[in-house]
Amino acid sequence: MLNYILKRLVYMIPTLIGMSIISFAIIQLPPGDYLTSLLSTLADGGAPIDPATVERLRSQYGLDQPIWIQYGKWMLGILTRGDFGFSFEWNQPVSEVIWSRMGSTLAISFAALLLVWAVSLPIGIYSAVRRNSIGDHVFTFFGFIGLAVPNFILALTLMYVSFRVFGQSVGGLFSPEYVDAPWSLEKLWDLILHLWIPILVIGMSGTAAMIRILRANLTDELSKPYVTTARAKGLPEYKVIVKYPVRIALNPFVSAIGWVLPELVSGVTITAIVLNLPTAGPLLLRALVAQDMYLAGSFILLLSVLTLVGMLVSDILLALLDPRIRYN
Amino acid sequence: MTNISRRTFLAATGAVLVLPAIPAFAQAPLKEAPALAEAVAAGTIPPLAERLPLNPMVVQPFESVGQYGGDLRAALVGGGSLNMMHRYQGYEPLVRYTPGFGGVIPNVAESFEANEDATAYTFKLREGHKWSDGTPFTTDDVMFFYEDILLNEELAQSPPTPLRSTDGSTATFEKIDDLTFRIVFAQPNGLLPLRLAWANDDRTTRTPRHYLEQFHIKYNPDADKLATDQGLTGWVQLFQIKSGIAVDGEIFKNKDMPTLYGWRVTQPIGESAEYSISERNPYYFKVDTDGNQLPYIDRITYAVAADNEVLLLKALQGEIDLLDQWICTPANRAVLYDGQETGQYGFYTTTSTEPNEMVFQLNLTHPDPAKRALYQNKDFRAALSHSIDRQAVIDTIFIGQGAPAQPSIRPEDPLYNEQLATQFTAYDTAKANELLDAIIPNKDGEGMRLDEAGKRVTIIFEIDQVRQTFVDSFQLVLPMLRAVGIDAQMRTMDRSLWEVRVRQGGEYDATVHKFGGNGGIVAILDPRYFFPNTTEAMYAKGWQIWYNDKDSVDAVEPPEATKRQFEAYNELRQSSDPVRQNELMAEILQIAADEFYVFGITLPLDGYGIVANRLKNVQPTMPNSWGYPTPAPTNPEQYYLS
Repeated sequence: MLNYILKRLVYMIPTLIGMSIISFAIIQLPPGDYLTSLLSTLADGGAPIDPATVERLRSQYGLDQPIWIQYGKWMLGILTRGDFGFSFEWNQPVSEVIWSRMGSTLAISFAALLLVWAVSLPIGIYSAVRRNSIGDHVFTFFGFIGLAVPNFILALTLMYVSFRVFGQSVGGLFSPEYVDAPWSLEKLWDLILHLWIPILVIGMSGTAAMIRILRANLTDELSKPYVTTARAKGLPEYKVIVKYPVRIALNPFVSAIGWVLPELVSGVTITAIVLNLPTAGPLLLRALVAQDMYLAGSFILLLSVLTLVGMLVSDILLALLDPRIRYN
Repeated sequence: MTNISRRTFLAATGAVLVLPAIPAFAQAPLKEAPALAEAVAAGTIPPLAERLPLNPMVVQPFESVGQYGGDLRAALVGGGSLNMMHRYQGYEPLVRYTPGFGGVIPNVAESFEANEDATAYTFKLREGHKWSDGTPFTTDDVMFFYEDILLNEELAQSPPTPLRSTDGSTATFEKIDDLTFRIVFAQPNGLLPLRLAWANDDRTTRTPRHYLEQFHIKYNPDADKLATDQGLTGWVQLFQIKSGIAVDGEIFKNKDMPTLYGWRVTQPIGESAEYSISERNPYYFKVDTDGNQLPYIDRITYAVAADNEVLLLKALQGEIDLLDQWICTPANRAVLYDGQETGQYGFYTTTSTEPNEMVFQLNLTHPDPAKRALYQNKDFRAALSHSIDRQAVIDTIFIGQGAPAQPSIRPEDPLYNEQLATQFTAYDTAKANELLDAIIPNKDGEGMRLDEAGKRVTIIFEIDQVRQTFVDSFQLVLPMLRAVGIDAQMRTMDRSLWEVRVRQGGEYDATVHKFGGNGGIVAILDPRYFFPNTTEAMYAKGWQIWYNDKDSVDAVEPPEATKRQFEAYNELRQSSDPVRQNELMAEILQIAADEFYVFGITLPLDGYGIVANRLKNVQPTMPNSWGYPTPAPTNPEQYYLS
């Protein structure tokens, strides 16, 4: 097992290098650079910069150098100084920009993830065991609605309802008066009032998908001979279900953990934009649109690392959960 | 006393008249915001009389003297919109536009004076004027901008237009004493004061020497190390980041920057993902007619929205005090109107300063000689113009508001030229076909016209995909052009590709854009659609390059008529006589009418903004322009909350 983990860790190094090169190259693919997009934004506001100034800025920002030199400098900074470069748009080091959004991002994503698991596990099991019962049909109905309605529509609808019916301030995580207030019970309550929409919206489709997967897997397992054997031997029904088939049906949950980590950071970008959440997803989108390349590049690199780590973790968990899995 | 040079400007008009400086102390005792009075009592800042200039600028409140306190709630959308902050809190050039946009008045400068032939301007600063950290603001700060930024080879941007003579040479700044300096030109420059008041031409008043010296290699030999320690390429980049001198809006990212503005940034964007905040500058140099130091409002808070729809909901909920951008579109007018009661806001009108909603621009200096010859044929352009049913576009896209017009001056403006405004606007396909038959009579089996080489005459309009109005309009316009046998196509593309291909490139057939000026000062300062003076004139890149740099490899020699426009404009720039300026502008417009470079759909409608009921002293009507950075010239420092 230890060998296996070590081997996997070593394999991650070339993968990461490859990913960093590809992510950097992809950011450079669209024509123009940060200054081009800045220029266009300014010209739209009616304040064009002089082209000569742009050329000068371009050389100051080092954007006129060949891409491999830019890449080399970026990598050197990361490896030697832990410096991920400078975000042009935010005028701050990339690491500060990203970290300042991490708290709220992880809080929201994690809460949504817990909601997904807490709701979908029991419902999924119930649906599989009581297949075609009225309860199953009701859950299936809502599950499909959850799958079919795009998140952002749901978000917009909930926002409108919350504004019309409750007269609540929408968007963001706090009402304006609490944003820079120190923490207090009122502020916490205000946060909770704002948090339910994003968590519900983000959790909704995840829950629906999870229920369907669990139901399908468990249904397969339930008709297998070992379940019948367990029943024949007189195990209580609860033990029969939870101890054996559910354990196997959990495989997809575990193998999905690899995707959960990057999702936690960058997931649900559109929902976050619609809801005006101060999370990392909109930041990444904005960085890509503005061609703020070090920010975008670092982000993609971070997501790659998280995916790889997540994959490793889920493989290890899978091995623990399911003894049939071989290491080679 | 103030000297608004003899004929240099039109009279200051408009309701909020900023009075020329009168020694204000004489009449009324000075008063200050309660929070500042407390700070004075606690000894953290000096008393008011020491913070104000000896001769503070007196601002006449629009309706009434206001009261201190409160937050003005504004908004920004995304990271690239910081130059909006100039409009709310960052407009303090040496001279500023009057609220009515009719002329300029002294601002940071106490007075200014031009010599007879407009080659030298003398500016006098206010004695005792201080930066927001209490350091005196003097001629040395202006000279720092001139000597160490404008003339510095590494930093220098090419000098901004107002500081260039018509022969291209840069102005010279001369320090006379601590409060007086001169700007001298090789050739007359009659437009200088008008240009110095332009929104982003205030760089002379935003370079605090005492703060910026530490980032400048001339004063701090370690500046390079300071920069590389932070992972920057060198002192130049550090200086740009700290000073925000090269790019508009950047200045608001640095909260340590001393400023002359009414509010200083205390929480820049990026520090919080949700809000950017500015607080009152205790050293602000303006008072109202009762001797109260301005601004009335304590703070400006900018909610950072990622998306316009969120902003719209915020506005409907009454969380925005003043806004005329982004969500204030024709389409949103109804929903905002319905929400006035609950949102506790009303409306103000912004009068458009643009010459057209859509300006169709064929590339008159196309690299392909066949296309170039065809596009340069005025009859060809006239035929295209006749083939467009403008009323249909207006009815569908501009919700029935407006009347057919070419890019032109507004009818009520003295410079109005009827030919320029109305020629070839009739929807007349017979006429269009007749004109086209004379130029490209051959057609293929599908009725599409063929050029002399037997190829289809195809015009590809390249359009930035985020410009929804243009994209929508083309759904109607393309079939109209095809109906007269022109294979017109639209190619929408990502914004950055459009920037590279069209705004910076030269190998496109045609494009559509807007902005520019439609009368008065704006038309003179930004005549881009009347003759090709800048890169924004996308119909004649080659000619405008020739105008600005005849030796450039990309320069294309323009026809005689256009050359005459260049000459006339050069003379206009040198003249300080408004009568002569108007004569020359009229001549330029007549040539534009005869040459017919571009065509359009309709004059823009007036826009609107929303203003919270609690916010007072806001003008009900103001021009909408970047140059006149709406609403800054209406003096946000005298807005107050009731």
